[in-house]
Amino acid sequence: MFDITSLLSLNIIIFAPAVAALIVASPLFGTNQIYIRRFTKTFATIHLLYSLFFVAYYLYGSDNFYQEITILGNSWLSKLGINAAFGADGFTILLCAFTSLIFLFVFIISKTMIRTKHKMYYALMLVLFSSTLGIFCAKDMFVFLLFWQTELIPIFLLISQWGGVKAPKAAQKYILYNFSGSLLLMVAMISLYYYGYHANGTLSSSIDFLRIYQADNIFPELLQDIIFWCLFIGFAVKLPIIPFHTCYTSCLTEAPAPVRALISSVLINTAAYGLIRFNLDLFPELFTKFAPIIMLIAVTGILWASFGAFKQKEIVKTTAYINIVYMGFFLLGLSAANKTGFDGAFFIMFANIFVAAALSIMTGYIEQTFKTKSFQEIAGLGKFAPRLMSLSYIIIFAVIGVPLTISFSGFFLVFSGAFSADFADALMPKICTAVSFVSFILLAASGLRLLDGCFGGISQTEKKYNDITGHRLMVLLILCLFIIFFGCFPDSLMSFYSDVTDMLAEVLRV
Amino acid sequence: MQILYDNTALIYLLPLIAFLLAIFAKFFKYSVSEKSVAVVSISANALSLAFVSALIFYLFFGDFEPFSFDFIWLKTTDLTVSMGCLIDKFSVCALFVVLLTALTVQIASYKFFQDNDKFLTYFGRFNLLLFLITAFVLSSNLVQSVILAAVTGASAFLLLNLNSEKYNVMRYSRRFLIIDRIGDFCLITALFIIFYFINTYELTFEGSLLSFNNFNDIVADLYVYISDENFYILCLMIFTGICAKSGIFPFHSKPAVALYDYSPAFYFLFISLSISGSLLVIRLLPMFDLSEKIIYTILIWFALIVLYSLVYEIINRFYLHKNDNSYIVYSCLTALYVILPLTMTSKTGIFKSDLMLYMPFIFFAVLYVFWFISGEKFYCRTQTVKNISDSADIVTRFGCFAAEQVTDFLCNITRLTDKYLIPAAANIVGYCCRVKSWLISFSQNGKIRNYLIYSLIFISVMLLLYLFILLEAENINV
Repeated sequence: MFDITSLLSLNIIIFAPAVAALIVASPLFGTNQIYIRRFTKTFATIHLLYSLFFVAYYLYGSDNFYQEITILGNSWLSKLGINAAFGADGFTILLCAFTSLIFLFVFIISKTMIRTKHKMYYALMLVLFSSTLGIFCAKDMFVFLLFWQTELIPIFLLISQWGGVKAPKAAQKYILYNFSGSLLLMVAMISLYYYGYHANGTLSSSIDFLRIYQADNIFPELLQDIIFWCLFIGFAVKLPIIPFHTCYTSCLTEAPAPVRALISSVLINTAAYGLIRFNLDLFPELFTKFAPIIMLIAVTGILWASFGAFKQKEIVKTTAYINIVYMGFFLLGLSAANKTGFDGAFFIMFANIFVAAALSIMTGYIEQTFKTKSFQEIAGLGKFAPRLMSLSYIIIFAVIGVPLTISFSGFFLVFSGAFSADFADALMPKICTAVSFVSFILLAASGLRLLDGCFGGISQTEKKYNDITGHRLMVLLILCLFIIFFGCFPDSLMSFYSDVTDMLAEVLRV
Repeated sequence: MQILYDNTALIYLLPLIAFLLAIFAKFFKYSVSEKSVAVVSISANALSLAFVSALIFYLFFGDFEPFSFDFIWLKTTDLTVSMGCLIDKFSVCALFVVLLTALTVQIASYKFFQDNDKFLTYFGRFNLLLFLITAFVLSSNLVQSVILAAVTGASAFLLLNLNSEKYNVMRYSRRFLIIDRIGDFCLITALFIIFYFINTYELTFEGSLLSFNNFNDIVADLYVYISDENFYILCLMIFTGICAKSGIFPFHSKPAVALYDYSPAFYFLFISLSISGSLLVIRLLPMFDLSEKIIYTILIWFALIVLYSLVYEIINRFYLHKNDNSYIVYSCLTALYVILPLTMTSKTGIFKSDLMLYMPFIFFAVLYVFWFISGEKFYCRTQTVKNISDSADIVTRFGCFAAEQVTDFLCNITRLTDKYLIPAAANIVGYCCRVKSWLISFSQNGKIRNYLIYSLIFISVMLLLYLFILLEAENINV
């Protein structure tokens, strides 16, 4: 009988976008932007449908879904113990499917937002697509690092070539920060690799193998501490965590709206994913040990970014700080080091995908309409764009965590996880949770200010503006539907990753 | 009458259908007419009201027992949140008031928003609020109540924000939502504290643990593990949350904000705010019962509100000659509305089951007083509105702030209600309108003598109401 699983291949999921990038870059379409756009959108749609097969298979096909593949057998740098290994569980599969969805949306909205150098733009986007999926599926730390570094090149070019006036400078800053972070990651990973070899006599960079090393307590305590913090800072730069946030805000301000949607929704999740897979999964004991410090970092970041979002004079910067608050909540949930906290952190990750993408598209449209980012120069859009305003209400309600929107369940789980965290100082998690509650109010103030600034009042110019229509309306509408659907039925999202959070919580307990 | 049991969800699903229809009509402009949306909306409301009336009849005079159902909404290892529906005497009484007010307001709104380009938006947002407030009233546990109270606040914000092109409307409605979030903040923090202590310092969230069906037992458990001081702080936090959600001093500017951009929805907003507060108080009565300190604190709080309003009123009336006293009066009303049940708990020997018999009277009384005050507010409107930058726009848009037009408008409502509503409700509303017209003649020119008469009547009504309830309480105690 025909086995449907033979059709499901992670190779296709990860490398098909890279192949598509080659096709786009080849002379096949010449410089015909219509063909390039149509090809990219068709490819992204097929990719999404294909990744949905994985989701369906996870839901209905298998009890213990886990797929691991090794391309090129064990021959790729086998002497060094490095294999191009990829694997996927429910959590990864869902991340891949949502990444695919967001890329499709980004390709759709790029039609009206990107006016020049289409060939290069779409090719770079597809390379970025491939490397993002590679990060999510990598089961070898050097392969992970390879994709992590590869991601930086298209991001740099996309910001500097299609961004605003100060884009080259912002792109340089972003790359400089992230490259420094990557160096720390590299130092940590090479240390793990060589120390493992000296202790065990076997060369391997497999993430699972490293987990075994660590469980046997092969590494000295000091080395473990250093590696843990190198990894943490490396991921914190991209997450971004205060004080590494400045590159993120400036890059988001200057990036074109589609790239901004990608950075804020998908790319920062790669850092969150790295934190889970490396810091938490590889070093559970250290994570428990440093959890109070991480919680303090998270709460400081949440408060700082909430105030930051409130005082900004530009709409895009406000949304950038809102993203930082979200990632702060993610870290708060993770630092709780219990099942509820993990569930909340994972939920916030997924919530951020939809909320950040929707925010970026919304602000992108406003920015394009008014040709400015300043609150002071934008007013009265509500009269001309009632549809955009209605959808913006949903997005802002999600941002501020109104129940029955996607973020609420995440916030609720994070707060309850953090509140019940089992630290030596029993009062500390309670105080941290209460303090982070304050940001809830500040977040509401900033979100509503964003609404007021853009849609309230009367436009100072006599020019008439158009409401959101066509493809952009469709994209925003679907994002809003996701926001409401997962807000009303949070279990449907949590069922994908509850096995992973169970496992993580179990590891911490042991 | 099994059908009533089986279809309870219809009570809140009908407004949801009306909301979805309004959204559909808004997005596909020519597929459904505005009139059809209004008719469906009013009919859905009327059907829900009829359903609730039947439930009231069978619960009070028939052999119906209170019942509830739950389903799990969110579940992890340490956390379970259930959503559900609790039908008891109190919830149906509260629902009756909500739905009756909503019906009168919807009928009035039909005329008020005719030829207005925001007709569909208004009906959509109104039904969304109605759906949420109905679901809130029927909440079966505290977690659900807190969650739905938060969404209700956001939905009320949408209704307030209808004319968002006016800068002040946007600004004031933003303030409204931020105050509402402060209320949510207090309530959610209190919820965490309760869970923390109930589970003896290991937080395990289980929605069914805080079910209103056995709240007495829960509080008894809680009281074992919590010190008096902590319990007092917990109660205070809950009460502060309720004040913020209901617009009680020091969060009293909330209803004033709502009044800024006048529409008939204000009546409904006022009722929703008050009901959300009073319902939470009633449901949490077993908690407040246990601490004398919190009861005294709340009473002192109430006295302060009354004093503050008097001072504020005197200064404004006699020294500043300003007419913007109304919002403090609303705050007073809501405070009375919320605090009344509290002051009558263990001190007078009234049990919760008895108390709910009086809730409809309290609701109607407040409605009555509210209509009464609204007369003056209509007149004030023409004066205060001039001070607002975009006042001209408001007047041209709605064009009904002049006194004569307002009287006509109210007469129209009376006629409409006489025609369409069940006779009892129509009589009450109609009576309120007529008494209000009579009172307007006293306070028309803002003279001190007329004002004193007006205040005297207002205070007498309040005192009578209060005395009536206390006397009844004494009777039951005997």
